[in-house]
Amino acid sequence: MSRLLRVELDRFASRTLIRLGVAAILVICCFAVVSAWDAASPPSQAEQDQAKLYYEQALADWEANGEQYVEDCRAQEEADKAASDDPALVDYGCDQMTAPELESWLGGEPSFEGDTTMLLTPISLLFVLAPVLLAGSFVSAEFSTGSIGNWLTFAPRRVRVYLSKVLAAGLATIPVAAVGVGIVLAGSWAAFQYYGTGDAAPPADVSSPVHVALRIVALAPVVAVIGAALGFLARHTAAVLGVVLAWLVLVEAILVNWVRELQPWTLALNVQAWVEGSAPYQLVECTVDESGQSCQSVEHVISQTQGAVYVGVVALVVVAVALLVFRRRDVS
Amino acid sequence: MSTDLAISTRGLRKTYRNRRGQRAVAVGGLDLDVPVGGVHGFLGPNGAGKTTTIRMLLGLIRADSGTMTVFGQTVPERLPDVIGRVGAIVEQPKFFPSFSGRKNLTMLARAIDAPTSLVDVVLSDVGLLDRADDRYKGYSLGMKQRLAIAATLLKDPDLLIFDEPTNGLDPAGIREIRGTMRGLADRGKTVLVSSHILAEVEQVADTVSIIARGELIASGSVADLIGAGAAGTVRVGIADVPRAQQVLGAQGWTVRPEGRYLLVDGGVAPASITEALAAQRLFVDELVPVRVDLESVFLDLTAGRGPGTHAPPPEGEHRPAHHAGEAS
Ligand SMILES: Nc1ncnc2c1ncn2[C@@H]1O[C@H](COP(=O)(O)OP(=O)(O)OP(=O)(O)O)[C@@H](O)[C@H]1O
Ligand SMILES: [Mg+2]
Repeated sequence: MSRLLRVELDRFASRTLIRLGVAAILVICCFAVVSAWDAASPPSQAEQDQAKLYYEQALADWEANGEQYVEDCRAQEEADKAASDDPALVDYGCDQMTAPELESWLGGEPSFEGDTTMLLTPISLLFVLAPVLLAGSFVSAEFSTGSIGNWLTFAPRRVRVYLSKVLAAGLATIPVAAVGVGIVLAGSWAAFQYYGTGDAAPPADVSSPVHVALRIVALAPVVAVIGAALGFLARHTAAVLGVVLAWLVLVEAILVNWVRELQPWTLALNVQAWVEGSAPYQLVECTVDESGQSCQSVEHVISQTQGAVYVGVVALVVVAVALLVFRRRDVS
Repeated sequence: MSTDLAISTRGLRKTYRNRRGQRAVAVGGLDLDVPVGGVHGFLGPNGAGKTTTIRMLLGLIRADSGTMTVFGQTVPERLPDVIGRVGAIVEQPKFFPSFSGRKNLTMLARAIDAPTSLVDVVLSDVGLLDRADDRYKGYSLGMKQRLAIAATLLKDPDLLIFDEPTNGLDPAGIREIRGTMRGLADRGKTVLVSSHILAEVEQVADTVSIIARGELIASGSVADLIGAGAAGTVRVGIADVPRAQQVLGAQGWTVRPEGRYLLVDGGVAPASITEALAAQRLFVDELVPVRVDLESVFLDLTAGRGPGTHAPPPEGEHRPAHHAGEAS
């Protein structure tokens, strides 16, 4: 078993497509570092002048017309309330209309913690899609070239062959993910150090992006395992891609949009909950009382634990189904 | 199960479901025995079920019913115990296309815990050492075939299964493969070679099994199948056929004219024929012992046993759909 695992790890690392894919992932991570430098840099003199100019224009406008704006807002709100079935939902926040502040044109203080976390969130998407496809092609290429048949005449124990491939895909993904998010973290850290714009950065403040990064590193191999199992089921890289796209479009987009109650069961939200700590979603809930039906948009939250359990269970189910199928399936 | 058999199957059966949901029989109750040692030809027309049988023996596909043993071990259950003694090439060799020949073999060697130093040994055995670092997908068909043979040699197997190994090879390649098979058999290995081309197997096989439509129709040594009676006819080419017929008939031999030739049956030695004719100042232009080859035996045996028998389609796998409906 460990013998087969070592051979599979070697094969994973030697495949041209996987090497190209890994290179692409790392390049994308480097681009993220570029935007980290952007976020870390304090506003230049030109930007400050520009901001000041816009601010002064806005302030002049507010001083001249501010009261009128608030009044218009209130009037519009009243009118829409009267027209609406559900007046409680109409709230234009007119009281929050206040004089402009220079801050809003300067674009906030750079913050290592906040900016890096925001950078890692879209990166997590990369470490979900890429492992599925790379691991999927790693396995399915053997079926489409037919070399799995030859392989089985050397290693006939199907369960071992299966586990070695699935495990290899998962294990090999860990260093890739670690290096990828490592580049983003280290690059961002260096940027904030360079500009000296970082927070005072006591360890507690740094923890958020580091934890997000660690959760991405933990997630990537699980997704790779799912991808490898899909490779056993679909047996063609194009088919793996098709299954993933079909799931995303048909289930995660169309079906969920149609039946909103399915939201907590989507992979997208559960993955988000795991990576970011929680994932909010809205449901419209209606109650009927003597005054008639009243509906309200209520926010629910998927917890991190729920996200982890969900992704784990999906991985286990896919891996088990693919194993049962591969154990019995004819290979020709 | 007897252990002097390298392969034995009883009632082996495999059906495939076709598009219309009917079951088409690929192998229907096959009883195949392959003795230990020598080259065993596994013959049958296209679509007879040779590849399907071999795949079942190797555990690649599941039999519907029946039993199989390899060196006395029940397969597929005990396959892991015997697979190390079995090297096989099923249809076209298939390796990882973007890896070199050496890399492909190295991975296989590591999978079976063979020393990786063996890789270069088997590569040079098949004469591929100088191309060992080229990508497999750049190999010619003959080189792919040789790499596949090298791969089987990694195991130093006692049984080698070659499924149509000479498909697509040039005459030199065919001869080389034949030599390889003979060489292996002479070293005490058992070789099972499937083919739909008789001539190819006849020259190298010690024993043969002929199947058609998934069933065994004949088996035994090549000599037995050709049959002792059929041998021993001599064809005589001579200018004066009627006179020669008289002369030879006078010797008490069975003589029949056939166009410009005479056929002398009954195992008469060619030397006696020339002697008898020369005594009457009749001189032969041509004197050929008539060989009844496996080809005609094969065609006789498989006659009327389904499409592809007499005129095999060029591409092996196509068979008219109506055949499927005849499933029992
Ligand atoms: N995967 C499959 N699905 C459906 N039918 C199949 C499959 N594999 C083989 N068959 C059918 O089983 C029968 C036997 O095929 P097989 O490949 O064993 O023949 P063969 O003796 O090897 O022929 P050839 O000399 O052409 O290689 C054929 O009718 C074939 O169409
Ligand atoms: Mg075949």
